[in-house]
Amino acid sequence: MQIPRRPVLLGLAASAAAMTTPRLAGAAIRGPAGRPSTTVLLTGGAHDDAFLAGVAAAARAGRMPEPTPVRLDALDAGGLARLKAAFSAGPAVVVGLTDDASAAVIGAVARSAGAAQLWSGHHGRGRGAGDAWAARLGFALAANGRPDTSSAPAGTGRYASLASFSYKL
Amino acid sequence: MAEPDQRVLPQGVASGPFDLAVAQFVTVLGAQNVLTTDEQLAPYRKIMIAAPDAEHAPSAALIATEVVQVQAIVKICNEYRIPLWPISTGHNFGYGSAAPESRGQVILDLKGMNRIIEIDPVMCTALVEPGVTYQQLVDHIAEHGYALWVDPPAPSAIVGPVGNTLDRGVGYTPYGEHFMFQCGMEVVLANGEVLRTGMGAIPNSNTWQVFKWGYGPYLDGLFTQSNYGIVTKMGFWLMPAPPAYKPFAIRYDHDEDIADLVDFFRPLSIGGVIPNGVVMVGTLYEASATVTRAQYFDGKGATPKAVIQKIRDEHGIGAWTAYAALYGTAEQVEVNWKIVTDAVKASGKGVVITEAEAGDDRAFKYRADLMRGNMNLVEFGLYNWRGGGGSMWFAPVSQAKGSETLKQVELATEILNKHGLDYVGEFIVGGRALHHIIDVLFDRTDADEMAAAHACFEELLDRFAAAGYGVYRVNTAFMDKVADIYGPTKRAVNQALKRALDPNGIIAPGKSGIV
Repeated sequence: MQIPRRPVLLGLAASAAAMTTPRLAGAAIRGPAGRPSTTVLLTGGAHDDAFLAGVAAAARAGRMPEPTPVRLDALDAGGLARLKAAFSAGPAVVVGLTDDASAAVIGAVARSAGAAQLWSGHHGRGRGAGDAWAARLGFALAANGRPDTSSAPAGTGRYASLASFSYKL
Repeated sequence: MAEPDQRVLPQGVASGPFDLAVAQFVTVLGAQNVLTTDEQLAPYRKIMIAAPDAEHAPSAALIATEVVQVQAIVKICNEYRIPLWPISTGHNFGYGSAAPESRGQVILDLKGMNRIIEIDPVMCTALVEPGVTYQQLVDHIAEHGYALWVDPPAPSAIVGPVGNTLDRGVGYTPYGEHFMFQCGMEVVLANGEVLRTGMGAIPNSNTWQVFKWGYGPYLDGLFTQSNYGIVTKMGFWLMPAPPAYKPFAIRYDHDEDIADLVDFFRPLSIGGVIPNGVVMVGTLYEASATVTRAQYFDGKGATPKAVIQKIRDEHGIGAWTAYAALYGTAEQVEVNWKIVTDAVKASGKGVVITEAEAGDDRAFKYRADLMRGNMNLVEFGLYNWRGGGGSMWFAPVSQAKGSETLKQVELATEILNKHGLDYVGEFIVGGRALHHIIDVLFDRTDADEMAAAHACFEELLDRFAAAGYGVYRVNTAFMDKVADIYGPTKRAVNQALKRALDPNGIIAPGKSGIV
């Protein structure tokens, strides 16, 4: 049976919003006027769309600007240039759920750009780490700058193989 | 009773004097360049080694952009006995990243000193500040149309020549032994004076970047892998772009082929036929460009041999894949190509793979880029092999003889597997020396695995040392141990130099075991 993916993701994002109350912790995240946007770094992972949907749901819940997705893909020369541009675009919150290798490079570029780190952690790719979890994580990182209890590391996988982060410029 | 101060502070420095020092740092650098909050310091605390983050947490980070600022900071640190941990880009992940050797040191981040002071396309030399990255160099060279190549280590675009050279890192072109191609330094000493080494000591000299030795004792080496000063400028040589470049690989199917492989390449390397380091990549190192362990095995412990064989079979990966390149005019390359291929044929082993035959193979393209000095981040794929953000490089050096290889692989594999970890390694033949590069990969989110990785690394150091092997470089958690391995006399000499040049011990205490 073919299930249309977009309605599913929208549903996941809606449930993420319902489960998570944004605390709007970061000053850069909550400003009512001239709010900085949230940049979402995507590296072609299985949960990219769900994570992005969660971030978008947080933006709507907090009446923040629509998030800006930046696709890095293979972190080749073009990807690295896009990554550096994402960290030099002025006030913004940069979040992502990526593989470990990409997260290492992203963390390096973030520090070089002078970004403050709100969260950085690794997650298991286990039974709990599906699209719904990714959407909740995206929502929490965009809303609060860090995971909350419902989007905490899945931890059911034998080995951690995903990394999430939240930086503030 | 007053609440105890929960901040990270330099060892032996109370919060009051520390705050006074921070106020003076602000006067020198401006408040925006003195980082003290948790969120500002968190990126500097991120480490990949098997040690708790807290043990390497800095108390502050300072961002300097001028030599005079570095001089002023050193003066303040002497006054308050504040330890100062200089970094250039701080992206040497498997060696400790940006975090200091011990808790509480103040990081001096030189990323803002990122001027390319001069590139001379005639003499093929460069003079740069510590924050300059290889990407900057490549962009600058391209912008000016110079026919010059750079020689990056594997993390290429995000790291720079000063930090890598000072840590005696290596690259993959014929200019790969970076300290050999370094020429002239400017160093801020612990007393605040500025030393220019070699010919740089002579006002108006134009030979600082062309003649290494100057007059009297040669000093540059003292400022590598050490804490005797803060290097604020460094000269080095750039490789003229050769008219012809021919990367190639030779695939070998059996584990034991590594011995013949080293003996095969050594004379070609010493004789100059192959001018760059020949890299012989083990299966899992090679596979990490395209494969993760979880795709094949989700069990605890080391990856079983049968699984490794399955990866070889399904991805056409050899037990060992040798990568090297030829450089020069088309005629020179043609002659040397005949020498190499005739030798392979005569050896009766190995499958030669040219660039055309490799096609879009990601691993080949990555190695070809490295040997050409192109920017490329594929090596970071190693961090996806096991996942969890743990990495420590174990890099013993031996003679470039085949007889050195198998016993090292067997010993390393035995120790790694005993601790539940995989052998992910490669060898590099550079003339007479053989570097054995092993990435000890582990999951930092698993406390048991992190403890196992620490114990494993300690055992690797001990048992390799017992067999006569020393590492050429090590991460911040094991610097003291490795200094012990190199013996008490060397330690005493290192300490005597430290006392003479930095009597208050303010510059990077603990670096290379020198306090």
